[in-house]
Amino acid sequence: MRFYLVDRILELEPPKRIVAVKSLSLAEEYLADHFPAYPVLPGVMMLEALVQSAAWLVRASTDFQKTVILLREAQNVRYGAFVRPGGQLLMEVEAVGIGPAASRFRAAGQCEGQQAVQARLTLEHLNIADDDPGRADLDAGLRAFWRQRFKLIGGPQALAARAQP
Amino acid sequence: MRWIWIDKFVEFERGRRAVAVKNVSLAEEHLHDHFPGYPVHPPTLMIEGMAQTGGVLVGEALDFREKVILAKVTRARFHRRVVPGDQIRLEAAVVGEVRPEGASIDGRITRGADLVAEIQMMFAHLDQSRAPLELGDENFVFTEDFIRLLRMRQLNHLAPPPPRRDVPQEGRP
Repeated sequence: MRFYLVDRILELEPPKRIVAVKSLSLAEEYLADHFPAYPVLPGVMMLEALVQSAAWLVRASTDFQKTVILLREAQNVRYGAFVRPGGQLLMEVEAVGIGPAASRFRAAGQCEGQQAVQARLTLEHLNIADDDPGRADLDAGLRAFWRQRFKLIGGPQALAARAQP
Repeated sequence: MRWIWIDKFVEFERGRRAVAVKNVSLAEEHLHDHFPGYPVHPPTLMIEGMAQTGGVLVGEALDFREKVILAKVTRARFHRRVVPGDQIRLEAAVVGEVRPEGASIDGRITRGADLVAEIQMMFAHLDQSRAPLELGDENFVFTEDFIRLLRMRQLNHLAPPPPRRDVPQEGRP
């Protein structure tokens, strides 16, 4: 499978909040295993969707400076309703604080009006060149990749919508 | 990709603790998206590996009668990045005992001597009132993949050897 868990950014207010959506399709391969008789979005994929939403908020808030954004800590991840194929996970992520190397968030996802997941997250941000200055080219490539992907999922439109009075 | 985030069990003590390993390989598709040019095994999939290790441990304790689902990740902390070529070891221990309503797991992930992650999680036994009605009594959680994983050869050395049968030798009176 692919590992992109944000299909569209709906609202974006850097450095405060993001609203994004993950649509669940029965064409996604892992659903064949989870579970054969009852396909549902795995709980950790809900968490990953929240992590990736928060990562977009970090990129939009820091001009894409750091290229690798990873989950460092998740706390109190609670699950409610299942997300089934044809359903959409609507994610709302609020920043508690975004620093240069780490950030903290409160995040929740709902599906068809029911709470599906909520969590507190800490992310870490880094550049590959932090560890290995000889690989700054990888950062440049990733930065360009993220900027292009941001356009694909409606980032600029979400920013523009916010700029309108 | 498939949805199975452990490769084999290497230790298993019924209702108490289980240890599984997972190899991280560039042959896995998700590593090419996470991230392009810089593959890192996603922390969330390590949580899932622990959920599968702990879920089988909890499910087996009641002979896979209950539908065991992940109800809460109390805390997951990651200390090191895991990259292709690494083998991680996932150790899950039941906190207290498996109860009628579910169980808690205390988990550690290591790579060699290094601590990769500490994960605490809770499982619930999905009771019939919350279970999807269309499923009836089928236990959709424990697919054959997991049960086969548990019964694979790797665990045999942990069990007492089968009694040796005396084989009649040919050519002897």
